[in-house]
Amino acid sequence: MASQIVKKEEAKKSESKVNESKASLNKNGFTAIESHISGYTSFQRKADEMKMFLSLNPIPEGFLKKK
Amino acid sequence: MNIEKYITQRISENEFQFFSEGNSGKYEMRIQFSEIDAERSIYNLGFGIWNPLLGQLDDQTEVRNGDTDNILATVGQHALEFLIKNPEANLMATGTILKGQLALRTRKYQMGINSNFEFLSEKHNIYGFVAEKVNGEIVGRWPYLKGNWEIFESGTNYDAFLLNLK
Repeated sequence: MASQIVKKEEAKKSESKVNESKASLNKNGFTAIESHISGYTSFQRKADEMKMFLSLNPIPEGFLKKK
Repeated sequence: MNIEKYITQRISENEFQFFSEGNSGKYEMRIQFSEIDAERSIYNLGFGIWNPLLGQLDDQTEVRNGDTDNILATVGQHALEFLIKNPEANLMATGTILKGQLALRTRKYQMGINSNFEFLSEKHNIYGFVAEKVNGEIVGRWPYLKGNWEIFESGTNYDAFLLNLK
């Protein structure tokens, strides 16, 4: 049990270091991580992701500008 | 809105080119407004680094050019112009939406809206999407997230944004 707790703490420390590294990468601008995750490889892929996102989280009709 | 903006060139009806110039060099950038939902006039605002050799946006290039504010001001200006040109449009924008990742671009969008909220809210409706989170981390992976759309309020952290004309 004690060893599990130690392992969890080590994992947390490791994760923290990774996040610090990412913070450092991000501080001045865009990163490969961000551009990749955000789907900026192509506008079309991003658009397709947006369609999926909106199908799961539709914008309330009252928020949309009507034609 | 007083941040210096880059001069842009129109590439096609809804796509613009400009060059980021900073401490890492000069990079071609593109802004594009993509139609997501024709029936409801929902568009996505996208921008990124253009790789002329591949003829596409490069997702491997890391640009730390020290001009993020200038880039975002340039993109923001085009977003407002897009809505003037397309008054029925609903414009969405988001950056990184993943747990464990820093949502730098999303936070920058948020800071841009916050700092110009009075100006923006005169003529625009502004909404924000809040993804479900546990202990501050988003549940699920982009784009398979769940959450709620709300009227934008300063002080709330959003994960996506929607803008349209009043």
